[in-house]
Amino acid sequence: MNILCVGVGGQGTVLASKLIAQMAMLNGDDIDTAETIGMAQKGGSVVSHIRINKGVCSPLMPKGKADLVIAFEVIEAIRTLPYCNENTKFLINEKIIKPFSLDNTKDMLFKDYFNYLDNKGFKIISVNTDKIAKELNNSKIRNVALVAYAIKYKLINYSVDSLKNAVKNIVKPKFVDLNIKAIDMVINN
Amino acid sequence: MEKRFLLGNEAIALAAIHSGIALASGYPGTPSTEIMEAIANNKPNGLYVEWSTNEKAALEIAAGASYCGARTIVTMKQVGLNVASDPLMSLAYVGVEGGMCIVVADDPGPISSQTEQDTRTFGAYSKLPVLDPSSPEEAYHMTIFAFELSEKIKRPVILRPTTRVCHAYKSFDVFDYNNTIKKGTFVKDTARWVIFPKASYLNHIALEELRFSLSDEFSKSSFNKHINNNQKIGIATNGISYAYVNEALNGSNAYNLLKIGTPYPFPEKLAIEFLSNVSEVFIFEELDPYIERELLIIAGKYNLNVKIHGKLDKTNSLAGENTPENIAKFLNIAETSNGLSIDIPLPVRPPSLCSGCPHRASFYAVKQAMKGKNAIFNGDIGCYTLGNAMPLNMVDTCLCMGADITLAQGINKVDESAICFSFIGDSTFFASGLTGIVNAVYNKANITIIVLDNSTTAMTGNQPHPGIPFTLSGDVAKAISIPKVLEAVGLDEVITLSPFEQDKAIEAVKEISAKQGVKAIIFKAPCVFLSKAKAPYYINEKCIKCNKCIREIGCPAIAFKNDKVVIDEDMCNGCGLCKGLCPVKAINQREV
Ligand code: SF4
Ligand code: SF4
Repeated sequence: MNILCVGVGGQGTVLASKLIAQMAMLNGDDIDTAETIGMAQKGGSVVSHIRINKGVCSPLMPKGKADLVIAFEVIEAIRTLPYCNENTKFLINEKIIKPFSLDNTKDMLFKDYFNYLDNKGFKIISVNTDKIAKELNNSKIRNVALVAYAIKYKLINYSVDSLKNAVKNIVKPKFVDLNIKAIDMVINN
Repeated sequence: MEKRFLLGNEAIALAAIHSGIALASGYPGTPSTEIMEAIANNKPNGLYVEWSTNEKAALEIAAGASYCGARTIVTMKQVGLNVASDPLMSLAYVGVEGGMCIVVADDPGPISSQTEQDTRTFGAYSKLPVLDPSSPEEAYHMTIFAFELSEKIKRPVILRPTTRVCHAYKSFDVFDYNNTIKKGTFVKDTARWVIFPKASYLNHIALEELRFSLSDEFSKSSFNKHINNNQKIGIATNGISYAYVNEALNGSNAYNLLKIGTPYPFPEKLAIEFLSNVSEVFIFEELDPYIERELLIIAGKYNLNVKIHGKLDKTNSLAGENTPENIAKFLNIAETSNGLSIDIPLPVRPPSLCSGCPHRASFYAVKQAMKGKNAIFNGDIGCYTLGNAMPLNMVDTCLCMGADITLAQGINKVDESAICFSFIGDSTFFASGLTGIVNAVYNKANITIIVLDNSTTAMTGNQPHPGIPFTLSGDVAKAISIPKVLEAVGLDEVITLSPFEQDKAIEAVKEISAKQGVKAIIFKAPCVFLSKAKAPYYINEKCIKCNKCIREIGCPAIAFKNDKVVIDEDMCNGCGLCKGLCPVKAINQREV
């Protein structure tokens, strides 16, 4: 399976990609990922390539080969199209972050960009992580919530328990409970 | 044996620890930074780690320890090797006692660098062996080998991963090497440790001889591969391009294949074997046409009738990264695709200063103070290079670490009417700003130095530096005071203030830049990654949609949405910079 995890630098896509990789490891699957680390992390476009059980493979997937796109932001979801094909599925966080431009008076709305993708006939699930972030008073929690949604909607084939174990393995101890709470909120909603 | 999921840089770190290193030193730089951090996070007792002030210092410190017989690792990015090149060239001659691995991470693209220089070429110039891993797993094994080889030949060995190897994670089996840490003792031997012309002549011969003996040894190394499929066309490749080739071949034997993991000394015998069996060769490599040049030399030397295609005949692109699909398309075995196209205009998203970044406030203050004046803003390497973007547009030059200080001096010597500013970060100040500042004082320059002190090395992910009261291993350190250093070298005036006190900051810039001589303002405020976000700001109904807050400072948290100017409170760090510029006072802070 080929997964792209995309967003804007600072949103924490790397953690989501690590969680998926941890689940794969716990499941005994082979895993390769490639991360964007460096200048782009300061508000630029960031992409994680996640490749599960691909055998001999490069860390970057070739164009047109993504099975699933997990997007933290809708413009970045569209930017993955060269990596997609007709069967690519999308999980999109209902969020738009407008890149700076001097002519910043023009509106950019989530729904316009979302509709553009939707009209192409993809299977898309969009989720709103605002409520969870507000309730738990932590905006970084959207990472784990998005991965939990991917499990809930059967976009990736791992169990809720394996996600919880992955959290225990890689999240800082003092944030583990908060992450588990977020997972439960997603699953029980 | 145990299965681990490791970042390429973590694999290198783990292999170094398994090899029993006693000392690790380096200077942060993408894509190499995580190696030192992983060593520090996993270090056994007795292993000494440090972020050195710069790459030259790091290399010399490791050399001292290796003279004593201890194993050492030094890490840097490719441009860091330029700074460390002075000790490198001499150390190749003098050699070491304990095994020494110099990791120099290259950055094809470039993704986060000033240049696309190739450390294989640099390594060959220094005449030291270079290993070039194609995956995190191979990086692990090459690092283990680097220490063994270095100890055998008594010279440093260079490991040269590229970004896609450094920043790839892979699950693979890790063996239990676990050498114990061997410290050392310095044994006096002036003929060995003191570099002298006469000894250098002999060492030069030894280095050249090493080229021949290692070349033969490397022809048998498992890091190099020649797969003869009895085809007339051959592919030669290395590093991450080898991974792309492998995936595209998908087990096919449609080509003969040469993979080079030891670019220097080049495995000549293996290359002859490869070249003798094909009539045409296509080369996939990033950065320099290194393998291509070597193969051309060998074909010429042995009169082999083979056509060689790569960068030198412009078959392949001369710069930038290779991609899996470009190579796949060329090899034409598996079905390839261009994916789907994006048929709407999509805004680009270049990196930018974070919301709440103190650099934005500093740049804005200088910009306000210099409005209408002939001022030249010399920038440097770090997050603050991003001050070049609109709307700040506050970086007129950027060359290399420390050059902000010295370029300003040169410009002012011939363009005397220009008010010359030097913007330098706190980490860069210690890494390479000091000598330029001493030069300015001694040679009576007219410059205004702006130290952007955010108490960290921010661009590479917040490492400490000599101005910070703790070290990489978490120990308490004696922080060196930047204002005291500046006063001690004889600056005429040094002021420290917060850039968020905009009115004061603007006044200070006006006043100090009007004076002659070398003077400095230290804008001190922590990086947003170090400080807890304050309550966010919001825009109320008084807003007249003049857009001044958006157009003047470019904070990514402010945007025009649903016919309103709004602050994304998730992103806002509560710095308050926008509040001061709203003409109708529509911006206020939330209560906590
Ligand atoms: S207070 Fe204003 S300038 Fe500062 S981070 Fe928030 S929106 Fe940006
Ligand atoms: S500067 Fe003030 S009035 Fe102008 S758009 Fe921003 S918030 Fe509204």
